[in-house]
Amino acid sequence: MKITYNWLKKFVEFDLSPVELSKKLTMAGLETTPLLSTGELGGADDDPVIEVDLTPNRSDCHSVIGIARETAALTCGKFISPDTSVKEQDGDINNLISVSIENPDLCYRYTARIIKGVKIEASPLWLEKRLKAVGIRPINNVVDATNYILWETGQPLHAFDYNCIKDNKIIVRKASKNELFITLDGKEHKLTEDSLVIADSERAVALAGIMGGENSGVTSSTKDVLLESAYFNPISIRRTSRRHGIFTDSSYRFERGVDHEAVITALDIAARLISKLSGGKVIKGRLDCNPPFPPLTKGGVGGFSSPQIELRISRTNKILGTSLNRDYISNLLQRLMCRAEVIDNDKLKISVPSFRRDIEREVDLIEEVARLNGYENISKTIPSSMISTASLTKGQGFERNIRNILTSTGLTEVINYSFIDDKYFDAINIPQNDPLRKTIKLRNPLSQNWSAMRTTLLPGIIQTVVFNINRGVNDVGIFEIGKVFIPHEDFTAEGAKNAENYKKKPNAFSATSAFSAVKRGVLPVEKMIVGGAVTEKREKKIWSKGERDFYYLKGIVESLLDRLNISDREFCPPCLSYIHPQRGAGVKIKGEEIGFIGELHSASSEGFDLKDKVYVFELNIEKIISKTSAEKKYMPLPKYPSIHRDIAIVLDSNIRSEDVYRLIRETDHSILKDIILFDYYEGKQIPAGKKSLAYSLVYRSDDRTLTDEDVNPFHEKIIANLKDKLEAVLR
Amino acid sequence: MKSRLQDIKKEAESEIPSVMSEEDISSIKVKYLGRKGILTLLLRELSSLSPEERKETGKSANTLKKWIEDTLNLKQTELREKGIESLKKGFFDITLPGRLPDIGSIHPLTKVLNEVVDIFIGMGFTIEEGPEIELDYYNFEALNIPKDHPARDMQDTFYITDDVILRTHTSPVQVRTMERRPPPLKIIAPGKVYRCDADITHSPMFHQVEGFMVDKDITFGDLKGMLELFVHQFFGKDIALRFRPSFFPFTEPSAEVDIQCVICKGSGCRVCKGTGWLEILGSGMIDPAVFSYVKYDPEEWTGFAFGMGIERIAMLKYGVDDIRLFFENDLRFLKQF
Repeated sequence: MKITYNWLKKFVEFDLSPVELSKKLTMAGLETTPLLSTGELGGADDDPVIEVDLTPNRSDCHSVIGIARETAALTCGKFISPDTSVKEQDGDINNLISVSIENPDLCYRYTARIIKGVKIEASPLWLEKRLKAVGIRPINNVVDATNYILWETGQPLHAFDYNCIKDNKIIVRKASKNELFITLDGKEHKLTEDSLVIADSERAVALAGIMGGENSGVTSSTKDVLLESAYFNPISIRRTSRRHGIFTDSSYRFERGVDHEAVITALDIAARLISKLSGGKVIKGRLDCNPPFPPLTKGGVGGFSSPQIELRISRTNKILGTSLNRDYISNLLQRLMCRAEVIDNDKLKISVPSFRRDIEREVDLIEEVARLNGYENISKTIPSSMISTASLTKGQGFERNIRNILTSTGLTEVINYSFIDDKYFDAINIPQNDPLRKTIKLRNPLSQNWSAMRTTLLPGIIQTVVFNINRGVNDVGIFEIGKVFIPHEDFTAEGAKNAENYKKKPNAFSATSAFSAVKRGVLPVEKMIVGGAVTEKREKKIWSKGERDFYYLKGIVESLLDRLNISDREFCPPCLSYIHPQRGAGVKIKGEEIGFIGELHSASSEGFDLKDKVYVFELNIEKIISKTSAEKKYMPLPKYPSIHRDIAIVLDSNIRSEDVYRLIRETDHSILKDIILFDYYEGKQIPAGKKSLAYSLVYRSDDRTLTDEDVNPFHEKIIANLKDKLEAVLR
Repeated sequence: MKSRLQDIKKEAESEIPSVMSEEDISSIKVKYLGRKGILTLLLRELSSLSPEERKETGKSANTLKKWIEDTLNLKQTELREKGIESLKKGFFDITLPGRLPDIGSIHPLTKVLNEVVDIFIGMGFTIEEGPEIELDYYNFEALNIPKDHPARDMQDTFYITDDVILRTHTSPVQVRTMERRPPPLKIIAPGKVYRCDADITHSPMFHQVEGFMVDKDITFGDLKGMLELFVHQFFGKDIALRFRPSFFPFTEPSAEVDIQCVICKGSGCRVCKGTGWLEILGSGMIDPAVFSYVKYDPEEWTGFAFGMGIERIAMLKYGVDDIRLFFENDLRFLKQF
């Protein structure tokens, strides 16, 4: 909302420079950006423009007069009421026009005046300058006058060409279904039965409170003007304006609620200005159709009333932490044009002026007291009432732990958007019937790429890999911790139905019913996942350790589970369409699958134009938490030295390392404490179809120092077993 | 025996001065002074001599023994010194790059979020969480933002159905928590939130930290005091802050918290749009309407609530001028933190 300094001065006496005024308004909740040079805005050179950013509650300040009232309250300056006198000439309006309101719930008041014999021409320079300064395009003297008074009073006005109104009748009614209507800007709209229109006996002439019609607007040939000033239901205006995508200065003010007491004053001020600018004569009398007020609804968006509120001084001080006295508070509120009546020592009865639609309750008055008193004058205190201990939730503690472990293994944390596009499922090669494809769709996504809530972290993670490679960063090691969103089985069907029911019976939508909504499928299940990826390629650098492979990633996941104190893990063959058929594994803890690791399937890489191999993983954090052992227990350090024996064996390539390990382990587990695979070889040195494995076996006793003689029989037994059962050959 | 001693002496005197290495020293030690060393054996035979001879030969033998020991010790010291000296020979390039261990980095937003959360944990706030896909009821209705209220324009909402949305702020956690737990409460709720808006200062997904405190005598003064503690802890003791009236449907009175611009120190710059102040927090006293939704008696309990955007704070802290950098995940960006 822009105003000019001199325009404001027309309604309030104050002694502040524009900059001082901006500061004052800002610290009172009317955020005012520092003055732009007037030239920049095309304003008058000697009349600085002030831009005020208003919060939605302060509909009363969407006008020069509104800001003048506020300025008067803040500076204790004198407020100068607008001159509402009108020189009426000739005739009687009631002989020229009649009005009927068919929907009094949507139009609470409809008033009008007629100005006859106008001469349409350009506005005088002072008026054009002022309109341009606040961002309004001048059109002609009559239209400019309505816009000027709207800006000045906050009351939207509309000027019709009186001679275009058929049968001298104004009917405020709902549009008929599919009624076509062309607004002033030449655009055609198909109206619905919910839209309120101003009509004559034949057709709509205005979309009520939003924009006039092309069929009845003021043009250069207009002789007589019908000037409208009305009060429309804010919710109805808001809905209609959104439905048709028409946002005007008028609809903006109506949907926030205007001052019903200003409907008449604005009409009169505007009639006078039109008469003055155009030489027209104001016809005697006003049309005024004023159905009974509907009750004020919650949030101040319904009807209107001028409430009387009891304000307790004790309550005010309790909430603010102040010790303001009654008379001081009373005085502050009177500066806001409230009437204050003393009830007793602690109580005031406050009558709120009609333009302050936001003040409905005691607490609203308390805010006004705080605001006028100045927030800076309320002293800072520290609540001493509650001493409490606090810590992270278990989940968050785990997440932090996982972050620290993964960064120490070389991965960098990324954060991807929670929304994806279903098309990535095709790119990743996820089967058509896979549950991952059941995503929750946004009704109003910003783009197709961000249209569905992710059910897996993979699309984001792979895209991040691709993004980096495309920017020349080929050495990628990343992880992400974030939620995936799994629709409840009947999310779409049952959930939507439940939602429908809530709408029909808003009262049934109590807190408790909302709380169990998750169970009923209204809300999806949100799972916390850790996922990540490493590329095969590494940056060429001195001392660098060669390429990454499946085992690199497996090592990271193993370290993670180790550090999280999770034992009994198992890597089993996965069958995921997006993972290499061999170089991948499902990760199980205590028999339950918690995720997967593996090389991204070449078909999936192709989907992203990825030429390098990428290894990816995803683990369910909640499942990990549920499997973790509660506390770590200390293991005593060995008291006696150990004996290391190495064995190298050659055996069939397709024998799994795990089976060799198990065989050794099963042969003896009294003094064999550790089995370390330290070499793996396939190649020229050994026959085709064979591989060589070299193990270091660690023998140790808990109660004495072992000798070679102690170890030999065990070691030989292991060798014999390997030979017998796995046809291994010693190297 | 005397002549044998002479021979040993001669041999030792010719051999020992040319000793070059530690190994030579120990082999000579063994040769002369070891358990079966020639001088050791000779000394052992002394008992077979007459007392005069024993005295005389014994003396020379012991002198020789001492000479050998001393000379070898000397040699050893020389060698050690030479060894130390030789460390200086040749060339070693310390300017070659180190063998870097792989260490990843934590996302800057996570860092800032954790820092904020930790400060409040230090003040005794407990963590609560809520769903990111939220009911309209918790996100709006119960926070005193009815349908068709212009205040809904403040937050562009992603809709899933008419009643299910992506939460636009972390404030629904307030309602969820108060519904479940009786006062007094001291809660902090970090998390992701969503609004349909995207440009260099707005991201459709971003992070907030919500905090609130409810007790019998919580005042607006307490709100000011607690938030000042936080700001001073996070931005530094000498950062000025101000509380400015504002509007949130779920707080009354409401306050915007501005800190002195961290870039220009208050003199006015591009970042603070010339005002010298940066808006970092929204806050206020919890509106009685919210209490009535969760069935707290507003006459008995009062409380304050606040919320802040982590991206904005991170942008100020690290001087990042485009919010999209946080979600592009260019490793050259992320590795700087």
